[in-house]
Amino acid sequence: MAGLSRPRTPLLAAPLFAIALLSADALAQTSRRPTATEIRDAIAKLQSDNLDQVRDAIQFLGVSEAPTAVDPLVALLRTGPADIYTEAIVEALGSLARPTALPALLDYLRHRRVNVRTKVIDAIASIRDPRVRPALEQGLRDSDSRVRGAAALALGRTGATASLPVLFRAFERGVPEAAVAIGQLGSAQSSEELLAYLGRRPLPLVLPGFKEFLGRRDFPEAAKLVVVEKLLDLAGPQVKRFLIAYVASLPESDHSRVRQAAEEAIRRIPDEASPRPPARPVNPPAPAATVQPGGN
Amino acid sequence: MRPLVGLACLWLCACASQFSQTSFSNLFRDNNQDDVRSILGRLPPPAAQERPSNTSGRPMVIATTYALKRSTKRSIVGYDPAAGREVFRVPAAPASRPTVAGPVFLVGADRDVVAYSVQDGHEMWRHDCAGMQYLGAAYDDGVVYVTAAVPGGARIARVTALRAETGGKLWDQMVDKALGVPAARGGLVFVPWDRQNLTVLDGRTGDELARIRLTDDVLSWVLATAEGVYYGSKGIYRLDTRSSAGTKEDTTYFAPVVREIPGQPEFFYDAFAPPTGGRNARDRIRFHWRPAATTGTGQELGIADGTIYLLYYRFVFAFDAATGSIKWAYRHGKDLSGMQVTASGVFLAGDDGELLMLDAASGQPRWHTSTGSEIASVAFDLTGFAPEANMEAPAPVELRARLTELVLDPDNRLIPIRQFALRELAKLDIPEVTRDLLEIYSQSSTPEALKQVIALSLRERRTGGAFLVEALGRHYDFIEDSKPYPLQVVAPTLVAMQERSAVPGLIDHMMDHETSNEALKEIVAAVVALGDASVVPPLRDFVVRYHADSSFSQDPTALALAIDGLVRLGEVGERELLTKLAGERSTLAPVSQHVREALEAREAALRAEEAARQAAAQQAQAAQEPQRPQRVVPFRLSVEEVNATFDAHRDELRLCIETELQTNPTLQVVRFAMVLNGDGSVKSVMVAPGSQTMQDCLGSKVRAYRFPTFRDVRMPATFQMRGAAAAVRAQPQPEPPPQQGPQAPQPGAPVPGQWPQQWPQQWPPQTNPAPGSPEPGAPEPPMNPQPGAPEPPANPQPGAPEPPASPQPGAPEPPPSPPVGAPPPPASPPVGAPVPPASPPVGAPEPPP
Repeated sequence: MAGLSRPRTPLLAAPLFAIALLSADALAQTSRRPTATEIRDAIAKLQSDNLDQVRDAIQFLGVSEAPTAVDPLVALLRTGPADIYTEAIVEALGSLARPTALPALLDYLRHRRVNVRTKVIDAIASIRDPRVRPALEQGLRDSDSRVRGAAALALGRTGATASLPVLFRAFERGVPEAAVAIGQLGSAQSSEELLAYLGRRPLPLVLPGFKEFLGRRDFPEAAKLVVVEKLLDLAGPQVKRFLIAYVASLPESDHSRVRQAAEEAIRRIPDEASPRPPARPVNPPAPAATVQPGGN
Repeated sequence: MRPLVGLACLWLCACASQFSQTSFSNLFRDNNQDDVRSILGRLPPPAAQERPSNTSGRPMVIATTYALKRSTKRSIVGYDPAAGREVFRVPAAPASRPTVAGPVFLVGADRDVVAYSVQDGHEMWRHDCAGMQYLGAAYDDGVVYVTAAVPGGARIARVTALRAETGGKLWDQMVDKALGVPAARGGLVFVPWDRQNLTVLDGRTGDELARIRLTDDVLSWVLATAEGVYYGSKGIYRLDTRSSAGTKEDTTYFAPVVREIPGQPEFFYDAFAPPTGGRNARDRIRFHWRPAATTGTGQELGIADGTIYLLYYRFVFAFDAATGSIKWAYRHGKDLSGMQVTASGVFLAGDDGELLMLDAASGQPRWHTSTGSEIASVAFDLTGFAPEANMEAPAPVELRARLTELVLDPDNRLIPIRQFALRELAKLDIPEVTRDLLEIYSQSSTPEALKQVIALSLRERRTGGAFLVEALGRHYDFIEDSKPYPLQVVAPTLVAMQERSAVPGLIDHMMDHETSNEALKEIVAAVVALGDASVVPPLRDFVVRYHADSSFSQDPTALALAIDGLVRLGEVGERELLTKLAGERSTLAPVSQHVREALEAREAALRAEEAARQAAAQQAQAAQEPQRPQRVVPFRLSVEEVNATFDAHRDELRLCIETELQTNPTLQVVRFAMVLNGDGSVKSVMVAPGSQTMQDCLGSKVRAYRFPTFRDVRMPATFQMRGAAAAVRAQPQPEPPPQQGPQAPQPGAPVPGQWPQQWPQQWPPQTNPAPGSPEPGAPEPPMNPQPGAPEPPANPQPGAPEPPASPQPGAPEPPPSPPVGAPPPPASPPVGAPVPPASPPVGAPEPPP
């Protein structure tokens, strides 16, 4: 494979489609499985000098769900292709979600380009393998906030409850996406821990976590009521908007105590133009220097 | 303007009338031994000074105070540290540091010198310096000697003798010289002037008694103590009988080894600089020392305890005066106003009024007290004061910890001396220092100026590599808020230390995306420098991964270094891989270019290496050659030398003879007659008997031979080979009878003992004697001519006839070959027989021409 960085030319692209196998888009639209011949041809085209063919082949193999595509893609990745192909291969391997691709992907978790690392995080998150969680936790330690955010969200997606402690530390160090993951993974106790950050961290960083807690069916109702109650203590317009959005997301048939509590809170929290009612003391009292009451 | 000029002229004229031309005259003899001996006789014998110099006898610290607020009045404070109490406090704002002078202490105030009592601080008298600026004073035997000078560099000064108790003037001299602060002892006043001279005045009259002039040094100060009189600039001279020499070499002189200190601290108070009165860098950056007691002949000189101390704001260093190495270092909490070194210890005064005594040997604080005043300037008079330690002796602190403490001082005014301390710290051959330097570098508060020193110093270190290897284990971690140690410093240091155990850690950082581009260059360079073939795989991974990646499009240096490493450490496979990468269109252009250049450079290096290797081999061979015995070029070749050349080619000659034997089986002996040139080439050759074919065969071969060189122009030579067919397989025999077939020598074997008894008259045909050849009957020149013996000319004289290359027309033909079946020629051919002559044996008379 040579000259992968050459820009795609329209002249080449037109016949490419004519002779191509099914394009990746077409394949996805038809939702049919590619034939073995098509996969074999696509794999062969990974070695092509025609850069467009290579790129289309990568994309095609990515949606092909063919396990046989993993090794050729990994081999291509190991040749150190140009930027766009590196990222395309990583995405394709993520789509294929095969553990055999994991060693190569983990190597690229230390790639010098942020885009590659971020895509590797997303790719490995789709692979079920015990090596994935430590790798995602390692992503939380990255110097780039995009990588850290992707890692935190990936941990939440993959249900890595064992990573809650490190997620809390990441949140403490300023990774906002960690709150979302905590909301997805945490227990009632985790919710309590997150509530302790109210007043110590800006509200926009904490609320996504509570949104996740409140939206979970497996989360105890009592714990949800505590969350609504604590939010009512802040009683700001941002909390009100948050609760309104939460109630709106509930089905009409939902008549739970949490909904009632949320609606009650919405009623009690004054509109933005109205004078603020005296706030009830929050336990523990928040430091005045960093509190943003109401999330203004 | 004119009135001012006129007034100045008048003033100068008035002053000129007061100039003393007796003392300080340019006509006064200097470096006179009698004069010096005379004054030495008046000095009291050296003795250890054991008590303070003030007449009260009690140790005193006299300080001028500093006004922190406008409402605070400045004053002069007398403090008795022995009693632990303030003796007096008088309101005053002096312009100079106090000088203790017997019963009084003096300070400059405007254009006056004011004397205060050391007993109670009351003003005793005031002396008008007549418009001049007070420089300093000395006290001896009830008299105060004061020098003052016209400020602004005018070379007009005054030395005045005043009664210490009353201020009454004893004498006064105004001179057109640059005078310095005097010293006094034994009724003598020592006045330095013009930074070169030391005039000795009679204390009673002011007459000049002697003069020392340094002819190869500068004189900046003079000091008189009970131990003796000292003067000098960067070193110390003692006044003794040798002082009249005026040179460093011939006088009693000692120069301590002092390292390069920032700020160029004075070795002693500069006698020619006006005294400072406030918090001034001149007082805060200075060396302090005391002369060693006189021993033996009195002509040895040194510094007490062999230690010279440096005060630098709040730091104190103790240096070994002989080596310049640091003995200890001390850091005080506040800046220090002054210092005195006594036999008891090192006394310090802090700006905050704290008095402190350090142990002279260890630098540990042993005693302290507080004056309770903010100090601006201070005069110590603590000789003989030995306070009992009132500070608990702390555990000994090693120099490494002390220097580290100094380096970490947050005061940015002190960066130059912190750099100095850092360099001294880095010189310590303690492995842990390497770690200390890394830690200091890693601190965010460390100024860049110090980091630069650390980076340079680390590369000089040769111990503590294990700490650097350990340091490689620290990586960036956002959650732990940790950062790696400065890799751009660590990596080159590891290379300098040749710490090969660091390679795995270096590789880890090479593959770590958190490594900065700048550090990455050093890391890759270190991997290549320290690694062996084991680093080829990671280097290959690195190059392959990024050869087309935009991460290195701006600065591909790290990739280039890795490529160099692959070329150097890799095998053919790596070079082929690089060639392939360089050919890819996606490869970054600089990378492709570098690969090509690196591979070409390698080829060139290999060629150069091969050439160097060959040159070395030739050199080695040439070096061995002189060990062989040199062949002495003979005048002519011996029989053995001719035979040896034929022996080397016997096989090829035998081929010709064996061919001839097939048609002429009776061929017994083949004779060669030749004329050899002095350069060893064959001029002509004749072969007989035999067919023309054999003669041509043998002749063509022999003409190509190279015989050893000889000094004569040319010489005849013969050789014979056996040709008997029966002897083809036989071993050579000394005298093979032809009928003894099976035992006959091999064909082509030389015939021993076949040299003719005499030369044929016609052989060699028409050959003239070579120029330089000995006359017939003359003895042959020796083979090894004696040194100085006349050498026969190697070349013919101009105009000498050239011997013919071949027989001249008309000359008798060489004898024809004997007919087939004819009996073999006799071993000794008869005279005139057609047999070529053999070369004469060495030592035989030269053949006739």
